[in-house]
Amino acid sequence: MYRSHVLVCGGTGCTSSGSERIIAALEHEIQENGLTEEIKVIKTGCFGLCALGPIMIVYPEGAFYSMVKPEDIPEIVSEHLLKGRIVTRLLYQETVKEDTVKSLNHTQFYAKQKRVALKNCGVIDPENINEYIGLNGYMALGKALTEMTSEQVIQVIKDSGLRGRGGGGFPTGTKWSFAAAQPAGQKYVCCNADEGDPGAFMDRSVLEGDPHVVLEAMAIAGYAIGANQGYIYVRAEYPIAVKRLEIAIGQARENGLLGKNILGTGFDFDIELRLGAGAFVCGEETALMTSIEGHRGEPRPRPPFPAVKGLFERPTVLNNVETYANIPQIILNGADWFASMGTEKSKGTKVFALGGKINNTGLVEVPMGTTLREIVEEIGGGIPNGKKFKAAQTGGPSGGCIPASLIDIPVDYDNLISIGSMMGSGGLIVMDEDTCMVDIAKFFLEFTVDESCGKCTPCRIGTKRLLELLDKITKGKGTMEDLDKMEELCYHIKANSLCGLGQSAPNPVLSTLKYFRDEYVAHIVDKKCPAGVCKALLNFTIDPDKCRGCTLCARACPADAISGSVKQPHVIDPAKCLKCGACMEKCKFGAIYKK
Amino acid sequence: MEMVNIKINGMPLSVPAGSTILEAARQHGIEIPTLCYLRDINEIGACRICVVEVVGMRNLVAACVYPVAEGMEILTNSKRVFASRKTNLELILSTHNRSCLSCVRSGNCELQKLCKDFRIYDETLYDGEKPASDYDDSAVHMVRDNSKCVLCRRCAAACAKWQDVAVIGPNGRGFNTHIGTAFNQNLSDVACVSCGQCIVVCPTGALAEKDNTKDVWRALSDPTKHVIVQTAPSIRVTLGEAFGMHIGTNVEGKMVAALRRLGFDGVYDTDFAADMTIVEEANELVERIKNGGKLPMITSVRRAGLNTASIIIRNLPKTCPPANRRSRCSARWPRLGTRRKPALIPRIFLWWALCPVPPRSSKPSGRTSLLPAIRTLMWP
Repeated sequence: MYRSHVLVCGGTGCTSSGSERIIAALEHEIQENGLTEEIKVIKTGCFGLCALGPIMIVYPEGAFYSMVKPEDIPEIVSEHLLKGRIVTRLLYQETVKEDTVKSLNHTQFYAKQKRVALKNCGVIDPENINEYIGLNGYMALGKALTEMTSEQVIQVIKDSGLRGRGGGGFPTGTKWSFAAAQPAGQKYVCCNADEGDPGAFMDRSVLEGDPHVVLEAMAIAGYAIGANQGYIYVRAEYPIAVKRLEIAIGQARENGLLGKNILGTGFDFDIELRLGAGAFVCGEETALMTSIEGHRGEPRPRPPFPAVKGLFERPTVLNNVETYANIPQIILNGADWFASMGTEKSKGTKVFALGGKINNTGLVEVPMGTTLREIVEEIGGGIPNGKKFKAAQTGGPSGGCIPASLIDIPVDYDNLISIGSMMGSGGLIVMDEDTCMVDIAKFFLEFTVDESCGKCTPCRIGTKRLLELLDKITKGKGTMEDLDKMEELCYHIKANSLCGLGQSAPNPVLSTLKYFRDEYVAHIVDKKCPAGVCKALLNFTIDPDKCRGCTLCARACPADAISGSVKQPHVIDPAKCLKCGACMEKCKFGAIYKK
Repeated sequence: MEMVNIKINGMPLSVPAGSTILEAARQHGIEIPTLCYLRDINEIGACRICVVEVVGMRNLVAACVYPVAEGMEILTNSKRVFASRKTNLELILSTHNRSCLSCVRSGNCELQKLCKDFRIYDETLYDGEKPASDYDDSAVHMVRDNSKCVLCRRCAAACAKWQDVAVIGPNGRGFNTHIGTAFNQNLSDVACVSCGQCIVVCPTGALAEKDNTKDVWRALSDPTKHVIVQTAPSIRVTLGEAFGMHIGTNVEGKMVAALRRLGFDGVYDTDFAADMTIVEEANELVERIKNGGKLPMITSVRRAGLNTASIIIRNLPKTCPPANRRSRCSARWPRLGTRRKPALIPRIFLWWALCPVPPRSSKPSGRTSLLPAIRTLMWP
């Protein structure tokens, strides 16, 4: 019986910050101090507060150590683990309270969160099936197989109001019922673990921190629709997730929870992994299936929809990782429990990956209907360096921006669509006054152009032309006619593309045009970038009143654009200036500014 | 057959369930323009030239793949549809090598026809960067010029689905997608069997046969040369189509007369060599069977067949060693040459290479390639 458990985050973020070395140091120190029988170290999944990684929590106190370094470990072990004296200087400072620790649940970051999909992340060792089982793991599968019919399972999911968490928001129960309605025969259950949106890592954390929840949910889906084979299509860029999934599948099979005759009920279901090869478009459902079939990962026209004719032309259910993460709890706790959270048309919770100009970057899960203000200012801890919030991008390259004027919008599927954005898979990039919205649109469009599969004309060529127009504008060479042409092309690409990638690629452009048109006009008419980002439109100038003539800038300039004699104010020649900013970095007197 | 009720441009129609909008429209004489569509072979909804409006849907759909449903209302020539098709065409034009004047398909090009039909007045409207494109003339029978490719994928479909050869297909991704062989090798280095079906289905000048017409003219106008021509069996019943006659008209007499008027000194019929070959092949087979010779015996009459035969032989299982598989009679044309050789001084042997019979599902296009390409072979 251990008297203390030390949970160390083993998610990708903390791992790349060295949490494996922390675990090694911990185990070493614990052994040195003769505590191996009393203290257990567990590598878990993502806790969510990635900005403060590597993270370590010591139970039973719940002491949340943040930004831990291997050098801190001897002190933590000898002071806290051996002598019971918490090392408060290394704690997440918000939790420090005189001589006790404030519970994590009361911190600003965690207070408004409700971890449903992320229930086990950060709590269990994902490489040990017994820990999953210990927290009601596989009970839902057992209940479904022994106490419910397939129709009852589908009805519960329908009643819960669960909608696809991959971005489409299609009612999950309805999708399952379409597939179940197809005649009996070979059917498939697929999991979309391709998570291609830049800045999104919700699915990654579930796969790394709680892989069994996906396996259990897929088996339940198989039971519901009459399928006995599942495929998880996971992007190869998630090696930790792949490894954890392989271990989980192996352990599930060993324990008779996957494979033939699960729990002795006669129901067969097995799962195989398929790795992606670096194509965002393979996150599109028909492209994903085409890829599993061994062809080029290009989307197919729909109808027929996958529930009718999907993988290998058989009825297939394809759901996102996060959608699956909700299924077991819905089965165990009931549809009403799930429907009690969220808004009228968007039930349950949503995981968001907070990134960009925000203090608390990381993973958060909130009930649908939480306002953007709560997410940004309270949970997110506000904008660093006292800058002003400008906009938040949801839905990644397929989504749109929410301007500061709409910060009180309750976040749910339909509200976001009504203002020209979309929920997407949950990436939430926060932007401040130093972000150029034209540049942001260009960034997302560059991504889409690179990832377009190339099959259909409007996406293959149209998005490229759109990007060329945007590029012209950021270089100060755009005209107002270009702006009109751009907008027309956006609507054309939306209406004519074969798949969702093309249909949503113009969204960042359209939504920034809608809320920040003045920035576009400034780039075109004034040839200025109000946020000071677009290099071609910037002028670097030396303030003669502040310049001391120290010549540091002139020496740093790679283009020899700065002239002036010692102790005399220097001057930058705009014709030669490369706008690299090297001079600004070197100046100790703050005499160089860009505008 | 189960029928469904739909409306096209306000007209109520009854069409078979499971039809696509394109099929339903064509059944009732309503034409919808297409580019990448090739019935049964390439139905992928890629080019977006055939887009139509379905009342109640936000986006446009590709008529060639979208199935009809009970109560569906379709608009095939609304302002929105016209504008969208035109923009899709203008986008294609922006990446196209528009040197029509020197292109073999000028006057007979599906892209040109669409430009006329859609009243394109500015083919440079969406100009920008052009994708990198290669020009492959390594193969002995054809040229691939990707700068004229519209990425309809009909060639890849014909090669893979129809001919089961599958040596060309899309490489790369997005704007840089291009049709090529595996690892962008030369066409002559892969298992292309020179069947020419990709050329038949290509809507533009991206794929074209190599043309030796000027070599023939040079030979014909050389008074020191005795120039003969050997006609393949099927040409006498396909040639008439290029001149507006009914498909299959036997124009043997006219063909021979025309060839003589062109200036050929002699016209020889491959049938003769074919007969000889058949007799010899039969004898060879009997001989092999009687004397325990190597079997199976593989032979072929055509260039494409020869290539296929070579590939089959190379890929025979280990228990069937390739040596001596191929009949010594393979390829009819050398047969004729061998017989005729001593009579010609100097010898230029012209092989009237045949184009394969046009595919069932394409419409006769009157294109110049229905005329047989004339090959010149220097015979020692």
